[in-house]
Amino acid sequence: MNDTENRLYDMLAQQLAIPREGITRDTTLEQIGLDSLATIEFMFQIEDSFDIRFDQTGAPPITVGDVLDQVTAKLEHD
Amino acid sequence: MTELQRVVVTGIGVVSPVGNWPGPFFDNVAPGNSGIRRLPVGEPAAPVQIAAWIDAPIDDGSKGAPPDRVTQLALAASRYALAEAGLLDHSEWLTEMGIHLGTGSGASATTDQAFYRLYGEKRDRLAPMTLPRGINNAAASELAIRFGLTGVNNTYSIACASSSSAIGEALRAIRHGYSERILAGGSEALLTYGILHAWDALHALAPPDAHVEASCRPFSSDRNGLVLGEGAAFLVLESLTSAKGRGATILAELAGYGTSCDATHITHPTSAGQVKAIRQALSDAGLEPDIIDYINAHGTGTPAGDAVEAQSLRTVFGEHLSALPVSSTKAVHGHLLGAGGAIELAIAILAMQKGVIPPTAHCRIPDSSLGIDMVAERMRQQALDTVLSNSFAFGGSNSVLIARRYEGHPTCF
Repeated sequence: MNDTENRLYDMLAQQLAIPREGITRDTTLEQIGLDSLATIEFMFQIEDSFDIRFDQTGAPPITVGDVLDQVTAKLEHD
Repeated sequence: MTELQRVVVTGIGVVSPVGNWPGPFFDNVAPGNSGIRRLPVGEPAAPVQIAAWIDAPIDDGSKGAPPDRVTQLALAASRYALAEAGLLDHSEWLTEMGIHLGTGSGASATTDQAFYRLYGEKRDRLAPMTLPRGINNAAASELAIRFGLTGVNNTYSIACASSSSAIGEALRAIRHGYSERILAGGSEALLTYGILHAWDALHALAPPDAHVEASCRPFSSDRNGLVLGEGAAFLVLESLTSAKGRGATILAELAGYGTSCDATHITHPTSAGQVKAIRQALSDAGLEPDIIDYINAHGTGTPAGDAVEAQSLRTVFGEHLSALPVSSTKAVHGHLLGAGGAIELAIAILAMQKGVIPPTAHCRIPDSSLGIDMVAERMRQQALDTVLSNSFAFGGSNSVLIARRYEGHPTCF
């Protein structure tokens, strides 16, 4: 697990008050209580934390892995 | 026409700078233990140095990111009230319940932080939840979601009369059959950098006293302003029929409500408007002035405000005023603004239950020109059957509530 993945899982566990051990790439955001509005809020917090800005045109993430891929791509691109 | 319903109080919940109810809240109010303390110095430092603030963690039951502080306080106090009323986890009684919530400033922290991000940090975007967290009915909405209350959901914003009007309007709604059961009260959490600046600019706040806890001194000749506070208080109100039907313990009867507007000045109160509201509350309860045993005054501690309220009491109560204890508990819990009416009605009801009149703490030089018995500095033991609570707001709105001991009293109308 790389640093980005670690940070992302830590954020999810802390902000959603869920056990970190239960989070995997395949966990859906819906499973951990993120509805569409909460997902938008969480993506915004990721932008703040990682100092990145997602493109608004992409498909909304469905799983934790989707979020991780978007963060990783953005970090590599920037 | 629907038969008018008597309205009773079956639960009280308070989260305050002097403790929670159920809990040590009244045991601190009664001897005059003050919750006024120095504020933590932030960066940048706010211009206001003292307030009645809550330093204990707020147990609002939230999982994950907490809502705005005003909502947190409302959630915590509501849970206490619902628990005392025996309603928690009883969906059969909660589902049709309504909410009347008063707040003067609403989600101040959310607004303050959003503006700081834009103007201070020069960021170009706000968090998506800024609006839903910050709208004035966010707290009432969150209460409904959290406890599953699908009845009326109203937010009242009438400055210092917000929660007393929320309670009074709930009285009317239940009495006339629009609702059977309403969670009514208020929440205020405005000790934020921007709001503190706004209050400081108004020159209405008391400076720190040498004894900080004694900085708010209502009805004392050396009073020199109000002290801001934060907190929340809620009452479970329901029809007598409903309360009896589910075997609830009845704490008091909510007997009368009066409301008016001075329509003269945005900040300076006018006696005529206050008198009108007090008389309306008495009439609503079907009571003569001499039946009132105790008044929890608005009594903010400003020189002009206390004088006008005393004038109003002299006008309404006349000779009875010499035998009528009047205290302001803002000296200990501070001015909770939109939650003030609710916490002060709660105190008046608890005073009635316990036969203890809380004092006007720190009233070290009672202002005899006011012509009231302000229960200076020391609590008094006295049986109480009928109590009245005043809330007079910026904007000129006045709201007055009357509660009675339930046992033995005939219907008021």
